[in-house]
Amino acid sequence: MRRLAYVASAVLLLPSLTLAAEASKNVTAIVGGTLITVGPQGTIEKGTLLIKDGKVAAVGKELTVPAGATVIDAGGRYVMPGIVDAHSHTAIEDNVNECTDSVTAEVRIADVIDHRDINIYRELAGGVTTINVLHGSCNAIGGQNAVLKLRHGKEPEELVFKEAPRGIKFALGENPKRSNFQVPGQKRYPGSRMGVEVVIREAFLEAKAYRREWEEYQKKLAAAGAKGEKPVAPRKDLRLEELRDLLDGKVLVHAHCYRSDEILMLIRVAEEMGFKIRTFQHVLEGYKVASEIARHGAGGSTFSDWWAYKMEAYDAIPYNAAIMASKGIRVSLNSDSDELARRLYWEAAKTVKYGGVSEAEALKMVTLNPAWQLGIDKRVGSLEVGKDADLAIFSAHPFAADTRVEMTLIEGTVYFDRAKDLASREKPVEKHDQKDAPKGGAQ
Amino acid sequence: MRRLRALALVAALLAVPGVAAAGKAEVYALVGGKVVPVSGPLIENATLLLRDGVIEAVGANLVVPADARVIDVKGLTLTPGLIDGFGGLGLAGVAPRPPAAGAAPAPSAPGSTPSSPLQPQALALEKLRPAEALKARDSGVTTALVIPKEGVLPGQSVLINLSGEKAEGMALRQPAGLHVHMTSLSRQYPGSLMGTVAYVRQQLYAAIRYGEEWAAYQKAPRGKKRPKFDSSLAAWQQVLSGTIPLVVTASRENDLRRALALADEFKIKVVAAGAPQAYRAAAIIKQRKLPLLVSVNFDPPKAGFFGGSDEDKEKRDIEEAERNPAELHKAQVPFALVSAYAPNFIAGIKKAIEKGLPREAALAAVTLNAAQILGVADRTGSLEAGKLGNVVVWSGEPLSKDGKVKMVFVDGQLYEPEEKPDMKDPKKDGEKPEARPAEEVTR
Amino acid sequence: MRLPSFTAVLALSAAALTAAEAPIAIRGARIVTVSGPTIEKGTLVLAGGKIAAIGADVAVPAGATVIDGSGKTVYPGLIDGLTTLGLVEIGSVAGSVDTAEAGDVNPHAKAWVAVHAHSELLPVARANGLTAALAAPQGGLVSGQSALIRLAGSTPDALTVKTPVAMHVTYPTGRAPFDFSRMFDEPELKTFEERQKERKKNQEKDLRRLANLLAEAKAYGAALEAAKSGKGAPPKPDLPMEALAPVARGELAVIMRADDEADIRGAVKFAADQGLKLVIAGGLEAWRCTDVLKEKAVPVLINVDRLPRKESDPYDAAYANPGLLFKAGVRFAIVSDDASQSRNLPYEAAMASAYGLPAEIALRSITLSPAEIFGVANRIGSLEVGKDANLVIATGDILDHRTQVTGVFIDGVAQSIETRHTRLYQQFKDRP
Repeated sequence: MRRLAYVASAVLLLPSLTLAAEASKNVTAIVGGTLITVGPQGTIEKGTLLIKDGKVAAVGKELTVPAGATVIDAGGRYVMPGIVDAHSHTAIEDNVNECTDSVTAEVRIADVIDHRDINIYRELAGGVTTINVLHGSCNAIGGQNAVLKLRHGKEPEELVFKEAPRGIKFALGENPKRSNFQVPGQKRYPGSRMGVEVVIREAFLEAKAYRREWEEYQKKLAAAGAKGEKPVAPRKDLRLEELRDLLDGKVLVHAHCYRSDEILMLIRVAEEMGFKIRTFQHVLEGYKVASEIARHGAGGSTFSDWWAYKMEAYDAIPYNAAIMASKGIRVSLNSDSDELARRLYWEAAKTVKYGGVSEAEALKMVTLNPAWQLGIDKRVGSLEVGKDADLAIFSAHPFAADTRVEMTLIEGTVYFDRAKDLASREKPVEKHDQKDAPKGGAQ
Repeated sequence: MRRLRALALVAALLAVPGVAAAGKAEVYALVGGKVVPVSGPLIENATLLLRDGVIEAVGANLVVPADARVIDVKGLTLTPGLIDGFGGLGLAGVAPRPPAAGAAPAPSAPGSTPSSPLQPQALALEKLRPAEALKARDSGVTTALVIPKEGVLPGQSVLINLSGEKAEGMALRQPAGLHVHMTSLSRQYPGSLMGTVAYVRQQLYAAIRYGEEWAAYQKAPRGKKRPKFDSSLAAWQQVLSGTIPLVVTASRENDLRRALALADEFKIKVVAAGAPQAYRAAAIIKQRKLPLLVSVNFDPPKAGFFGGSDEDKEKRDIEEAERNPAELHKAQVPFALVSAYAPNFIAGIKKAIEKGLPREAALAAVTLNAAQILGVADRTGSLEAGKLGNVVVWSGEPLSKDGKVKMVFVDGQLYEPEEKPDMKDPKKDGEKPEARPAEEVTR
Repeated sequence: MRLPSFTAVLALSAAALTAAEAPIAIRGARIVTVSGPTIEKGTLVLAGGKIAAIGADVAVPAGATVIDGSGKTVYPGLIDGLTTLGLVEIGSVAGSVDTAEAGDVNPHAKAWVAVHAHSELLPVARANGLTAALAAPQGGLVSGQSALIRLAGSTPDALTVKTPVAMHVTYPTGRAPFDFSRMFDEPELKTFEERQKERKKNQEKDLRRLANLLAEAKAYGAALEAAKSGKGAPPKPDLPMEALAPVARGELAVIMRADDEADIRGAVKFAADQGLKLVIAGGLEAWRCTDVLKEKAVPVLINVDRLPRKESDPYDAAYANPGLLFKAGVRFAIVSDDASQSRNLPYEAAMASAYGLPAEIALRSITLSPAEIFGVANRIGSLEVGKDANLVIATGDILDHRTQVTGVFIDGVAQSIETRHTRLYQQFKDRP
């Protein structure tokens, strides 16, 4: 069945192939590798992937490579979609948290992107192409996240995944209630899970009042018409504006949580206030309330096997992803760490071990599923015609014990090439300059 | 030696400076020196006439007016007075460091921390200690922009000319700019860089509305509730109307981009100060014509990191900051060099020269360029007829190792630094060095 | 979705447990001995807690419990050469943490006093093939003494394989240690130059302190020895000095935590000057110091899953570190350095193998190599006749994440591979 499917799509693709041949300057062909598409075409051995203008133009077996195309030989190698990390704090300048208030919906990660963070490159070297850069978990309602493509060497604004929907960080449990880090001399509300609920509830009541205030103003403005004196607009409050937009469904909620009770709490508050939670982040006890999460329609973005580092992580189990997936939750495995982000492919492999997730399903947990969680699954997460040519080339199957990322491409451009990296190390001084040069704004 | 005595005699004739300052119109003719106007070509054997605080004429073969006090400056070089376009001159809390090892550090004066770190309405002028500020004349500084170092919104700077005894009398431009230090506060909002950006953004929106509210009220006050006066929002009006620029202290490369983003969002004039890595963003700076006040405080005091930082990178950052002025010059980006709270302004300028900045470019950076960026090039920054009588008379090459400030004219008034002992070789010229107070160091 | 047959796994463990007294024969398995060649299809006999026989043609003794090993691979039990297993339960819950003693100098703190035999973390590590671990105190200048523990037993004594293994010392870096309570203080601002000077000063001060402590301990030890042979009165009992004396004499190894090249070189020099038996822990930049590590025969305990310290370092510096040490002939073991991460030890070894370390050496670095470094290679670390019967039965390559561990034996006794995690899994997997 699977084989038939890809043969069929290859035939359908013929017209676009001709197109590709015409402007083959912009064409890159990845040939000879095992293509793990994570899409309907499944896995194709000795396949060819054609990239045109940054998009996947064709995927299949025995495709004709247009003359003049840049050819990347992936013989003996494995090609998979670029990894999407749904929980990252990479490339943030200064503090990850605006810790001084329990609601800080107005702060934006996009304002503080550090495009020179070396971890961008290091993560590319782990096959990662897209990251969800989140505010920290210091407060119940934190700041606005930024989805980035790891276009190492480009300007900060060029890193931003422009089509990604807006999103915001929530945090429940120990961190917002400050069990683990009391600011000395500062007794900030909330101090318990009870208070976290109150903070969120109050924030949305306020946001609703703000919405009403603006609606009334619009009415007055309309009534004043052209002749009357225009009323002065209400105060523009960036914090409440964000929450109002959230209520209007324009902002995805990524909620840091651990314990099952707080997960249920947020679902209750969200359903009462009229908003949706897009992802539960960490969600280490998601397996205890998986059906409820699934019913709400939220995704779950978890660690493969981190546990016991704090009280609320004591019931964390490595079977979490498997159980949540079995209840119909779209599950992703995230890093929350510049280090772990470099080996998310192996985090996925752990779900095969713990809970018997199929390899195909496991790979989705670091590609297509996190892409869905960020609202960008039409663009990235699988190797399908028309999608962004974001991919990683591995020396062996991504789950194999000796596998390594050899090359990472974003929209057809090579951003990481291990061979080149190794070659540049022979001249360490020059290497540093080279690395700096393309990063500059002087291009 | 004889010439020096002659000078001393002139100085003696002027008697007590206070009396001289209060006296009637002073006219000086500086005869026979080498004039570096900065705005034009060098003039050998020139005469510079100062009358009524203003440069009356400058050129070769000028007729010396009868009422002028003639000073023979043969063998000496005349430059415009140096401008420190951004720093804490004359403010408490920025006490200079002890020049010699073993000397006790100067205690920071009480009230060195502003009462609130978020005070756009605060006036640096009110914190100015004239006697402290005047000491900078010793190093040839005649003009300085002053703003406290602490806080996120430290208030409004004043541009002072170093003459007179009272702060008000020194003000050349008041206010000179409204300032944002792109930093964050501890235990208080904004506690992160992203919080600072969000805070400024919110302030500007609030200020826009405040302006509209008052405008509506002023237009037709009848029947309307009186708007409340808010000194902080009132302060922003001058920025919104373009009367003064928003000066953004940019200690990171991307703070420059943040400043530009604010300029775009609110259609305001911005000036960037600090900018130790500005050369990396040279293209954008040039394209956007971002006025730059470049710091010579290459190793500014910072908080240490727990468990250590990437010291290798810190070291490189300092080296890059030292090279920054030279690189900007190479990239043909106009800029001023500023002390940015460095304990020794002149030493910083010399370091920039040592790292490749041509001496003429350095001189322009601390005279005419600075005047242009600060919007006072029509009255100072070069030795041209009609400009303020801010002149430095040097022995040796200005801003070089042997360059010594012999006389300083500010607003046409003569000030002679006391002869300084050479720290390295006190026995030089066989003269016995006088004991000097520790704080007598150029900044 | 395919789920592993847990009942089958449990049945096997249960059967083995009841037959612990009788010899056990694992038949038809691939046997990776580590010390010798791999037997593609062989039998392994366990008796009296020891390995009684291994080979392709070994006869199953009469009355032996036979485990069908066909399709399985048998490995020596894995050894985590640096962890806090047993000393910490929940990282952020102070009441469950016994990793560090108050104060800076605690040579007389002994890990084996506080290892918690009933920690939930021990079975979790064991279920992924670990049978022994170096439980080590941490923090301060002199942290205390470590114990090599087996991951089975219900009292600290029962856990103990060897005590003390080493004295644990943090090589002074001069940097302020991470202190959460100071995180929110108004930071003290200093120039880089000032901070560097201060750091150097602090480092020198701590090194002098350490040298003084060792000198004092040497004198104390000498006085104690002299008193034993009737020369003079014994010194006043001093627990820290008593604990440090064998370190100062170069008898008890000292495991020094050092990551920077300069610090590793400093530690090697310090140890050479003081006549210490040194092992480096951490060793992030050990690959830069292979010359001195080889020359002085200093082994390194490396944690692989780390970021490079410097921005300018190769991205894979930590991953490639073991491979480079191997090439240079430096001895090392791969360690987790984290109790809740101990179970991921084989994957750290795998990462090293992906970045230049031969796979068989990667396996050795979590079995025989740590056993050698800790002086217990005569008992554990490989599958050899006469050694403790510590072994793992797995469905495939133990370095591969997809491999399941189906059996763990410690001293010939089959261990349950049930854990807090499998129990919660069973409890909730079918919750509607």
